[in-house]
Amino acid sequence: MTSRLEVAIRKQLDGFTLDVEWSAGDGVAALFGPSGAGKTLTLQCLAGLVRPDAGRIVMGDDVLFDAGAGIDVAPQRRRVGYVFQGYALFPHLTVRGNVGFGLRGRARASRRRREDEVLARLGLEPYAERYPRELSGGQRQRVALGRALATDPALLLLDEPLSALDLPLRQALRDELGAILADWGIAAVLVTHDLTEAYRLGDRIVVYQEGRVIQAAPRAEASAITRSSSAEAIPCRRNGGAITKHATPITDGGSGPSGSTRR
Amino acid sequence: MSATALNALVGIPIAYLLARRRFWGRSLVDLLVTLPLILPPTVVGYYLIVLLGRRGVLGAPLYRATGFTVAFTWYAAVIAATVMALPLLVRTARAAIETVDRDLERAAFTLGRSELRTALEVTLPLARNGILAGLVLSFARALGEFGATLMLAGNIPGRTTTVPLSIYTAMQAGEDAEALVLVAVLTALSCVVLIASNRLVARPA
Repeated sequence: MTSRLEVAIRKQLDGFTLDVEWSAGDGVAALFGPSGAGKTLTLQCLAGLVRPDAGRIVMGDDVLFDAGAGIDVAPQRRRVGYVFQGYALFPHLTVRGNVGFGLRGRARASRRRREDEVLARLGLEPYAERYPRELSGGQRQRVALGRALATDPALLLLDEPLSALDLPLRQALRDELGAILADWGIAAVLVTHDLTEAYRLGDRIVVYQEGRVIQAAPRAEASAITRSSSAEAIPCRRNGGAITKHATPITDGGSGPSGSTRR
Repeated sequence: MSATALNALVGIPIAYLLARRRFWGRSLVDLLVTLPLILPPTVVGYYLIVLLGRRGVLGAPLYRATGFTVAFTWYAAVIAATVMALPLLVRTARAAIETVDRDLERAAFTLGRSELRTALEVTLPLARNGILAGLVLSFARALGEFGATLMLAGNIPGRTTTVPLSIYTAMQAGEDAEALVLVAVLTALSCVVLIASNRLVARPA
């Protein structure tokens, strides 16, 4: 299925307004920006954990949220996998218990088979009966990925997946994460405040600042623009406060920064 | 024991709701649940009679419908002890539930769990030690309940007498030896309970 993602949301919190609009196709969209820019809030809106005040979220043919039409699909039914900052592994469950958590409701045998499959694919078989506290940072990351991927989500959300790690390990695991994402071929949205991470892992870069998107472009063009720091050339597009839908897929590489072609 | 079971049944859901939900009347529930901790037990007992007595707000319809009244029965002793012990359980359990990382609950939601299933499979198991500590404390409180029980249940030997009431009766009757034994038992039990509950709270989940 196509996993084209279109996001246009507005959310007012105490002293902070998130008002963003961007789109992505297959591959990884990296949301880059300083902390407090609204990146995690965006992920929570995508997962259905936070309800936006206005806007629309469409994934492929599924409308996940549409304030105008009163559509708000529950997080339980969004088919979205979420890798939390710090991983949020269930400390009272084994690696197998964590990976299989989303498989409840399947027959025992089928659940077991899927757990084995995921554990094998992520090299976690030797640790299946261990608890999260007994694992290294890299193993925890793989368990978090396995737990999110086991249910075959249509979209994977990653919130600062590498920030819990020390620097040397971080670089190694960045490459490992990139390899896992490529191997599973899943569409993903990755949140990071590390520019290198955004460029290494993202096929499309969306730059956040103070609740706005100041730039959204495929990796090649985004790179040039960020360096020349002409981000203001691509303003966040809005219509008198109402959010409209304008999307540029990741795969449009070569057509120039998406914002400039829209003006 | 019955009071503790009833406490768990009523107290744990209240603790969960107070910790996790923002609902209308939340501070009122919080206030009502905490009041028995600071009000004189006789005042709580008085309210219970107003509520459950034969001519009480809830008691009168019940008496008319079934001919049964709670006051001065074994049930009254259980209810009085439950109400008096509830604050200890709710406050301890609530604090424990609030320490559970909300991302764990969010993770469960994205993995298909309803809020109820998440509470049963993630939140409450992880808050288990705090909840157990609260149960232990409320058990001890229920065991030592005096004032509210006396008001609502009376002091009928073998039916509604609690340990502290027996001590009072024994002292009144001049049976100092019997009182001393009961006092010693209750003191020892309370010490054990406090140590157990402190250990539970200190231990990581």
